[in-house]
Amino acid sequence: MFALARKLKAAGVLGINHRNAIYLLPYNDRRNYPLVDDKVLTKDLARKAGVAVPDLYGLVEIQAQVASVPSILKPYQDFVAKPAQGSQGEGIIVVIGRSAGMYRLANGTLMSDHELTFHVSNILSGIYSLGGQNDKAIIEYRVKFDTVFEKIAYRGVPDVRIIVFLGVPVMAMVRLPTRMSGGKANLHQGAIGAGIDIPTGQTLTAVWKNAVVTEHPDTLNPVSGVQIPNWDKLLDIAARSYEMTNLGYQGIDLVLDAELGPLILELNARPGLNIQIANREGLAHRLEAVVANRDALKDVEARIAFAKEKFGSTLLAA
Amino acid sequence: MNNRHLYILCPILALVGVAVTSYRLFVLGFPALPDQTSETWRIEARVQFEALDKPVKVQIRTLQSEGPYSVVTENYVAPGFGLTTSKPSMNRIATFTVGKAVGPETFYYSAVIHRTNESGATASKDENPALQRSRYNGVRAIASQAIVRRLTPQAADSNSLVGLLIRELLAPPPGREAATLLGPEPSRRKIVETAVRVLGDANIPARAIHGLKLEPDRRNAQFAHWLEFWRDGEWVPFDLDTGANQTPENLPWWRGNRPFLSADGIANPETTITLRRVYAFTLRNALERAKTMGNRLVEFSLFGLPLQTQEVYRILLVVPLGILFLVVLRNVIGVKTFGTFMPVLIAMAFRETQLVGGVIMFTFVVGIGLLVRLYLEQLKLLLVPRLASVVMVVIIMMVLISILSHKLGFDRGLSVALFPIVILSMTIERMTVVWDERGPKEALQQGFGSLAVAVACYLVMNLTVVQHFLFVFPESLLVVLAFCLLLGRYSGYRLVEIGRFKVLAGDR
Repeated sequence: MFALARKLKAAGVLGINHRNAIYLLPYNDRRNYPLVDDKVLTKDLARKAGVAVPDLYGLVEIQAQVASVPSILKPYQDFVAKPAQGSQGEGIIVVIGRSAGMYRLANGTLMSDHELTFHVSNILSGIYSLGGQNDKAIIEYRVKFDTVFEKIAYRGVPDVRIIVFLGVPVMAMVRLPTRMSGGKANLHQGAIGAGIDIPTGQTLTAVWKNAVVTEHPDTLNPVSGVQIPNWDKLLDIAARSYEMTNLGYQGIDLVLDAELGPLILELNARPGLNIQIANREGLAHRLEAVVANRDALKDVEARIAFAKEKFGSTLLAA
Repeated sequence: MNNRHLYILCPILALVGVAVTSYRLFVLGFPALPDQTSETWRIEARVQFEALDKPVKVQIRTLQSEGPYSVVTENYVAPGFGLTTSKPSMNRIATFTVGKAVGPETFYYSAVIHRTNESGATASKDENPALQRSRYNGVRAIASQAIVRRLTPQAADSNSLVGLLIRELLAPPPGREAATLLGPEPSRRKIVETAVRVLGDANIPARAIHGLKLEPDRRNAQFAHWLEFWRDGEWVPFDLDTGANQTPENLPWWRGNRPFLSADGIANPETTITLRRVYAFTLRNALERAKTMGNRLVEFSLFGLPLQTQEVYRILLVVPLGILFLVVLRNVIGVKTFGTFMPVLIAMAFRETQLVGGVIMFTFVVGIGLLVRLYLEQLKLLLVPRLASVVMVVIIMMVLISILSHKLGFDRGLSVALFPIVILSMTIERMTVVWDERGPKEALQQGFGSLAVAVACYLVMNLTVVQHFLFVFPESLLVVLAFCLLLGRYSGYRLVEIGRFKVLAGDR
């Protein structure tokens, strides 16, 4: 057991205590957490920074507004309803269309007006929010994902998660929904995570649950070696996100819309550690490299160049 | 960000905790372990006499703390008598008086004596011994001086002189001088008094001590008599039988030539002494002892609180340890639980319900609660009213369990009321959400994880040793706090992470 722990340490694998004690607490000022915990604030922030975000269709803030949800939704065939302060992808409903007066969800089930409004009211009660406090419900544009992902995503929207430390994109992965994840892009719900080689934007081998996979379990198409489109643009958005929130250590979730290009879906002040498994590589050494070169990494270009130079995947080199 | 603060703060906290604990443990003699039987004796003197229809005044010598002995409690039972205690010289005296009394009277004096392991001499620390000549006169003065003259050259020091003298007085057929002094069939007390007087002629201040040989359970204990003499600025005891200067088994009661009881206006006084060793909780002794020492640390401690409050703290003080244990389980092992401190609160409830009953009732309440909650899901209730309904259902279930188990004769079931209702309801609610979101497997896993942690916390918190130690030495919480603070900056792997990231340890 200790030998294994030593090996992990040598491989630079970041544990949750290590992440919290050494990176989150010192580099993330608690004041800035609401900026990312509340997706409404994140949207504003991104828009001000000139980064595209999914269009906001409606914001439900108090229970009295819940009744008006169906009328808000009337003009839209498809949309996403989610809690403004949700965590780990919980409470998100993706509606891909309507049939027979019902909403058709990404996972294939149908939902009535009544069920949808109940879900929205649950969101307001704070059942999905981080601390259980009252929340707001966001109803927004449903991303039409880039065709590149069509073969390797099962319903739902694949997104690109990039860990940004002090403005340097240190590690990235693309999360691919599966039948098991119900169209959601969260690894613990059964989505596939495929690491991305930072310099090239190519996917590496992927993990599904705790196993290494090379093809999508539902579509059977290979998930590695896929070129992420607009990769340089994504890196650029990621690197700039540091100035947006001032959070030293954050995860940025981006989606590639077929028409609108890269959009910021959300930011995360406590990004998970599974990305290490997806990349088959530990985070710690990369983070330490950033700390060591901190002074040289003032502007966005320098940070991206640094990331591209240093953080090529060892999987490709081998 | 560095940990310098922590590395200074934690040792200081730990050090203070350890220091105060060890002071109270080693200096004040607070017991580290519960039920540690100690040397405690209960001594009872029953005094019976006949009152002669006159004003009565009875004086008895009472016990006092000295050397390794401390008087823990004292009690007088003398109905109708006025009582005053005084300490005119080396002895403490209790005086019982009454205006007029007739017929047989009885009163009791009882005391609890505790002996610590201190190797202090039993001799009293009184200063300034006034040398008293033997005050013999006539033939006895001559005899006394003759003995002194004969023995002094043989003695190397005062101790051996005392030894020689005692041997002379104890010799089966006493020598001529000794016989003159002792008279026929001398009592042990007479021998001691004689020795004291003769030593006066040898310029060695000495005095008789009267007390008890501490032996387990003596119904009718007899006073033992030995003496102490002044040497090099202190009183040295001398045991007649062993000739030793250590008299660890002798409990000194009073000193001098006066008897145990002196009285006016009575006849036929009779004293019966009962000696009984008691295996008491050492704590009380330490406490009383520290109190008699006037120790502030005791006055400003938990023991100064009313008993009921003390009972509350007895439970409350183990909570930090349970919480520390929980921190270890969560942050070092990586166990997932519902709610941060829920398991500790459940563990506290287990104290009353007992483990098996507690686990059964917990499972039952949560199980039924889950069913009800899953049904409520159909009704699409808003969160707060829904939570409130679950609380009510939980309470109703508790009532039912209590009534049922009482009717069936399992009174254990009554203690279900001690489960933290709100915490249980929250657990049920969160469990349903996890059930919905991540499936029954994850929900049950976390549910049983919480229960297992609660059981583990209970087992830690319920150790009598732990409870006793934390209650007697609450300052040791500082050490627990220090550990907790240190764990706050623990950045190593959690045990479960080692499994989770195993693939990364790999081959490269």
